[in-house]
Amino acid sequence: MVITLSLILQMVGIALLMTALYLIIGIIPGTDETSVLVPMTLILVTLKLNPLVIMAGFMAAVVTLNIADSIPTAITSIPGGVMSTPLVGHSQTLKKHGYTSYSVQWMMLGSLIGVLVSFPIALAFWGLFEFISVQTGIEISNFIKKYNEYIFLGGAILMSLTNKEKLICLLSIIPFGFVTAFLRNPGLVVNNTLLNAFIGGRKLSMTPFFLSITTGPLLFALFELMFPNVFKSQKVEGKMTVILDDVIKKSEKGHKRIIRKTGIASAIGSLLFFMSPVGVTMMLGEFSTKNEKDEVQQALQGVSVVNGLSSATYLAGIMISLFVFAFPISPAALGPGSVIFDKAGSPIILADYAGLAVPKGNLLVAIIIGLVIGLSITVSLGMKYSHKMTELVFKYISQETVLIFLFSIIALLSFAEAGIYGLIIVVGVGLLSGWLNKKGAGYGVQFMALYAGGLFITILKALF
Amino acid sequence: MKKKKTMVRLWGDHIVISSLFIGLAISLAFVALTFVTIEILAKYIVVIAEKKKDFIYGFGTLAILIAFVINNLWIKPQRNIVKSSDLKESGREG
Repeated sequence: MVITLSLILQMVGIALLMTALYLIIGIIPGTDETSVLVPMTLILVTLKLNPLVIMAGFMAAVVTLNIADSIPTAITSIPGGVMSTPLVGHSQTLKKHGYTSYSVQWMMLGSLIGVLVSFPIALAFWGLFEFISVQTGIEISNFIKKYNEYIFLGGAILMSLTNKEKLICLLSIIPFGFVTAFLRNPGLVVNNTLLNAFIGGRKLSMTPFFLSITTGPLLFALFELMFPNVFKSQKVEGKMTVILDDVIKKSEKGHKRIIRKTGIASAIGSLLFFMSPVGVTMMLGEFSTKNEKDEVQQALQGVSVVNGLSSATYLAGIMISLFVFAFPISPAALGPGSVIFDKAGSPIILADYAGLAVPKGNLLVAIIIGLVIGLSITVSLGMKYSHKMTELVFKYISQETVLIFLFSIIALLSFAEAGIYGLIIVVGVGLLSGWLNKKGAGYGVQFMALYAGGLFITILKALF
Repeated sequence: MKKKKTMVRLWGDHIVISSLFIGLAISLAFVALTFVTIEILAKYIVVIAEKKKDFIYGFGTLAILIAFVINNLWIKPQRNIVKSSDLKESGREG
């Protein structure tokens, strides 16, 4: 595949579009990263766009969302997304001392440092594994492909053991993996006339299941409102009061220390790509600011380190999964990046997708275009207009329209894929997934169980 | 007297339940219309019939974006925005 000028323009165009879209979505409070990233990326995949265009758009969306999520957290103390939750405490401290605008600037710089540190680390990892592969003749991605279902099962168990709710995670692996594998191809297990008439001998792709898992928590939260006690507890009167802090104050000291700590934390976070990005961000974010006595300095370091870490863990997780393992080995690749891997775990954008086999070098160009556009636009706009942007989004974009947008995309994708059966699956599996998520079995465990599902069917068939 | 809208807290924000469902119905109606139109056109135009799924994804997404704009015109955000500088001034005056 040759990168032509027209292809570069397409990559730039889609990266600009995704940056604009996710800048707005990121500022809207509470949006979950995986839930909002997967449907739009899936649209790009189903539209059969050039794989490089998909990659540029996806990377722009990832960095933009990571940064945009932190803007409302700093200005209103309402987290823009799950990854920005660790920022709340630090941003409240800075707000108390009048450093709100200044904290937004450090959040942006933190993200920039995170990307600049994790990108060469991911490349170094790739280079090292290529070297080992050339020297030993072992192709690590082929080895992984051969045993992918076992590796996913092992990964699910390992991830469960590092989770707070170990037992729930472990207990959910087999039933969830089995149910999803059965629903993907019911004819493999049951030969029933009525069922066959309903599903028409369909074998589903992973699409409805990706959507189920990613939107599960939201679907379950809506479903729960049908219970009177939950409805009563969630019912509110009047509008939500949002205080926009517009006082501008700067601190002149400790810049070097903030940059150094953000750089070190991002490097460690990149090496821990196989762990949960939220977990790593929480753990290292707290650890790196522990020794700082000055409250303002500690909070400034906190916001910069947390943002650096969230960008670094996401980027390293996705890049290492793509280039080194050709397999979604990190939670970031399993969750938000799940769409760019197929059901066997191979990256669809590296395989012979849409008639195009993509060399890794070309993919790197797409990643760089996505990163540069997403970062430069979001950081420059955020540095200058974070208050104005937050005010505009809070004033004119309602939460309802964003939820409707997401639900409609999901309905379109699942119905086009498998008609009513697809819709039923998205809602049914989504509720199960949302319930499991609430009980403590997060996206990572569920995605790994989904990928390992075929193994459970094979074992069951061998037993009976 | 104007009837009070039922609001709940969802995803860290206040939302009006009725607006959510009416807006969703509008958006899904747009998607359904796209499906039906493409299905009908596919019967008469070969190019559409050959790439029916691509047309559905492309125009379906466009329909959702149009519905997003329409919904945003009538569903107003349930947020009261107060600037901290205004709060301080009113505090001093008070």
